[in-house]
Parts: sequence; C-alpha cells; structure tokens
Amino acid sequence: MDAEAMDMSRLGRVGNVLLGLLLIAIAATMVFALPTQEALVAMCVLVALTLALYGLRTLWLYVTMARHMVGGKALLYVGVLALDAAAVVMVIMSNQLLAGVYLSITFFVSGALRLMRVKDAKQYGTPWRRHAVQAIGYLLLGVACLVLSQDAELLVLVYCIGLVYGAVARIYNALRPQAVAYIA
Amino acid sequence: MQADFHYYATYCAASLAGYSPEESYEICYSAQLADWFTKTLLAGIGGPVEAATTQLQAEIVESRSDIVGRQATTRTWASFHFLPRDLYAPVSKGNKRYKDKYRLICGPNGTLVADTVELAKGGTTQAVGVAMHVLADTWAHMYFAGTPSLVINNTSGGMVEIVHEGDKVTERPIRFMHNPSAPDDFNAGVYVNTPFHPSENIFLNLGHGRAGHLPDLSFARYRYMPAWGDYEEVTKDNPSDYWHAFCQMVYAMRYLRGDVSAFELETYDTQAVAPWEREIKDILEVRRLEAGSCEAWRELGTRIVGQGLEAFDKSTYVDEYKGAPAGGKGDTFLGRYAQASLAHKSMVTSRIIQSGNTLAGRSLANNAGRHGLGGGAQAQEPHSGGQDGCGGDGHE
Repeated sequence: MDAEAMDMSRLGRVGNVLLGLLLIAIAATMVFALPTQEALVAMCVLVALTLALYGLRTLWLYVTMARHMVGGKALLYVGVLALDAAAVVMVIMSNQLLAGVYLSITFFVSGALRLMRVKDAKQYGTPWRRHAVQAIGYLLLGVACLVLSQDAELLVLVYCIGLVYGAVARIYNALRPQAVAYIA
Repeated sequence: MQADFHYYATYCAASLAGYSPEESYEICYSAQLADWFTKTLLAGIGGPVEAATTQLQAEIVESRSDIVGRQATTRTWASFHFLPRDLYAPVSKGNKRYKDKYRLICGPNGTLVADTVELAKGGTTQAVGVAMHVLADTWAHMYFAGTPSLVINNTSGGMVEIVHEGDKVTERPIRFMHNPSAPDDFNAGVYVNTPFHPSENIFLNLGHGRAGHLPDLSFARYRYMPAWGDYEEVTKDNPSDYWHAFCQMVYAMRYLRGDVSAFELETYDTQAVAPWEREIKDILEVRRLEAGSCEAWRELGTRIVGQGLEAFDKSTYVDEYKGAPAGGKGDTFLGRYAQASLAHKSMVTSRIIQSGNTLAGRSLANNAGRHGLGGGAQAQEPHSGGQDGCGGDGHE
C-alpha cells in the first residue's frame, strides 16, 4: 500500500503512527526474539496477510461499487492477483529459496512503481528525490533478497529492514504537513 | 467556478436583472463569499460554524473519515457547490449506496435549483448571493457529486481538450500532474488534478478533483468518460454552459426582484443580456488565467453597472460582526449571510434525506436563535413538506 495515499485525518495520522510502531516492534521481535525458521514462517505469513487483506478489500470495493465504474474491472484484476499472490506465499513458505525470490520480486515491483513516479515527477517538474530514494531502497532490498536467499537468517533480516523502512516512511508521512492537490 | 464568475460576472448579472449598484455589490460579494465562508473563518469571528459553506483543504484533510465526517462533508459540498440534479433519478445498477451517490450528481435545471431560488424569494441580498453561487455551480460542476466517491467522481484516463482557435478546432490529449503548487499550463494542455486513489470514500475523490480545474475554466471544452457513465463520453462546453449560467442568473434575479411572476427551469433571459452578449461570450472564450478573466469581467461590470467593483476581500465585514452586540449579530452582513447559508443547507439536506438518501445525514434545525444570531432578520424556513423533523446531529 502506498504510504502516502493514506488517511490523513487526525485519527488517521494517529492510526498510521501506531501501525508504524507496531510494524517496527514486529520486525524487532522477528530479528531478536524468534528462532530463524519461525521468523521465516512469520515473514511469509505477514506478507501473505498483507496481500490477502489488500486483495479482499479491493475485491469488496469492486463487488459493492466499482463494478459499475468505468475502468472498475482493473480493481477486480488487482484484487484477484493480490489474493493469488497471498496464496502463493503460503504455499512456498516452506521453501526458503523460493521465499527469497518471491520477496525480491515484491521489492522489485515496489521499486519499479516508485521509479515510474520519479519519471512522472521529473517530467512535470515536481519533487522527485524522495521517490527516487524510496525506489533505490526497494531495489536494493530486492537484490539483497536474491543474493541472500540461501541464508534464512539474513533473508529475515532483509525483510525486517524493509518492514522498518516502510514503517518509518509511514510514520514520517503521517506526521509531516502535506500539500495535496485537492480541487473541488 | 472561480471569482471571475461568482464575483464579477454575478455583479454584472445582478445589475442587468435590475438591482441597484449597492445591491449588486452585496449579491456578488455574497456569491463569492460562499467559497470562503469556512469553519475556520467562522470560528475566528465567533460565528456559527454550522453555517460554513465550504471547507479549507486543511479542514477536509483533518475531518473525520468515518460516516459522520463524510456526511458533514457531503452536506456542505452538495448544498453549495454540487447541488444534486435529480434526487430521484432512475438507476438500474448498483446497491443502495451506489444509487444514493449517483443521485447526488450535480447538474443544472434540477428541482433543487428551483427550490434554491424560491428559498431566496423575499429574502436578503445575502440569500440571493448564496442562491446565485449555487445556481452557477450547477453549470460548472455538472457530472460530479459533492460527496467523496471513487465510483462517481473518477475520470478515466484519456481526457481530451477541444481547442477552438478562430475557425480551427483541434483536439489534444490532456496531461495531468499532481503538484498542487504548479500552475496549469493551458498552452501545453497540462493541468493539475488529484491523483488516483482506489479508495471509495477518500477526500481525494470529492467533487471534480479528478478533472482538476477544468470545470472552473470558462474557456475550457473537453471530453471524457465519467466513472458513472457506462463507457459513454460526455462533452463539456464551458463557454456555452457559463453563458447559460449567466442568463439564468439574470432571469432568476429578475424573478427574485418581482419582475417575473414565476421561476421556471430551462429559462434564460437572453433578452436582458443581448446588448452585452458579444462581449460576454468573448470574455468566456479567452484562454487565460483567472486574474485576466477577473479584470475583463471587472471592466465590463464597470460599464454595465456604472460603478467600479473593488477586489473581493473576505474580511470586509468581519469587524462589523465582531463589534455587534450578542443579540444583534443577525443584523450584520455576515449574520444575515450565515442565516441564508443555514437556511439553504437545511433545505438541501432535508430534501436529500426526504428522498431516502442518508449520505448528507440530517440537518440542524434552521433556527437563527439557536445559532446565536438573534437580530431582526430571520432566515426563511425551508419548504419541508412533511419531513420528519430536524434531528440535530450536532456534527457540523
């Protein structure tokens, strides 16, 4: 989920800060408190849960409202894909190598999406450095997952670094004043 | 619409309808004030925050994102800037929630416009100004709804601008960017809009954000697929729409003055406007920033009214309100404006809830005394026609 496009009401900000802190706590637990194999399972469950929740939410929006919307089918495809991805994660979680590859793909996709935003931002002269930093971060994490997929402990560590990175970005976005293009 | 139309054009229209220069000023000031009368302003002067006619960006972002917050947002935006065209529109698809949102789509010549004008009959110049703002926006903001909704207010990729240059008509794709501080580039066809967000109720999907400022640019002509349109394109011709808005305002104000016996929909006083038709249409067609359009309308207004018009200043009547005694706030300009705003918001919200649509929640009782306005001028009661009473949600 794009950390920027989130609820920015007061309650939303508090919620996002708390969620960010929770994610940091989960990452710390996985690295320092859990045995490696359990941490690997926890990692896969977290990824699957995130994807599944996102997919279900998107599908619910499609079924209740967006199926009547021009272009609404795109939400159907996204929802189904997200659920498929969640299922795949649960299937492969016993295979460390596949889990590493899968994780790297998710980081590469996140990085690629950020790069697209960099391209758009540069094209229209809007701030792009933050997106570029995030893109580089995700791509590096993707490479790290591929390289380190043989080592379960390092794989979990890389994932937790990504978790903390995302959590910090979420907290930062929740707390910083933001100008939004709002026209009505 | 922007200040060029709400303020300067309304000044011209009021004069053509027969109002004196002083009355025309009060009307156009009131029309423009609808874009500035926020909770923040009202809280700052100790006024009734329920009378707010719009929201600052910060207010929207900070508002509750639950159903209560959405209802408050919808009450304000649907009442003053996106007046629903047909609360009983036949909708053959979707669940109730979808149908309710569909029925909030704004458009001109709906029964609510007639109700809006009727409500201002016999009222203050402030009430007339509020009505003219609402009427004008039904033309500019048609096809969008004053409630956060992805499935209604989204626009598909591929908006096309239709550019008239003399006899030559060209079409070019519109490119959107999301930098709120960057100006629109009319020549390159690059405009600012809100980014796509796949969340039904997020504030980014309120109103015409996905079309950027295009609905508010009098010269813009464009084609696109609205999210609710079953893959059919709509074409928006702002010069024509704004012309109709202007002529309808003149007609409405002649009715409010008593020159015309009834206000009928789809009626435009082109006769009263005829001597200025060419000049008005020329102003509407020129591709320029708001400041340039304001200047053109201001200059025309000086010739039509015979008096110049100073630039709009939202704080013009603040001292009067603040200095008024507790029981006399209602006799001030802003006090009368607040009463007009409350009456209108109450009327629209009542109509919406009467139609079985709960998206705007319930209206607070339209009671000037309840809002601490006192004074002699009382807001007119809405034509409630058997409503179940004002439940007073207290969530403005």
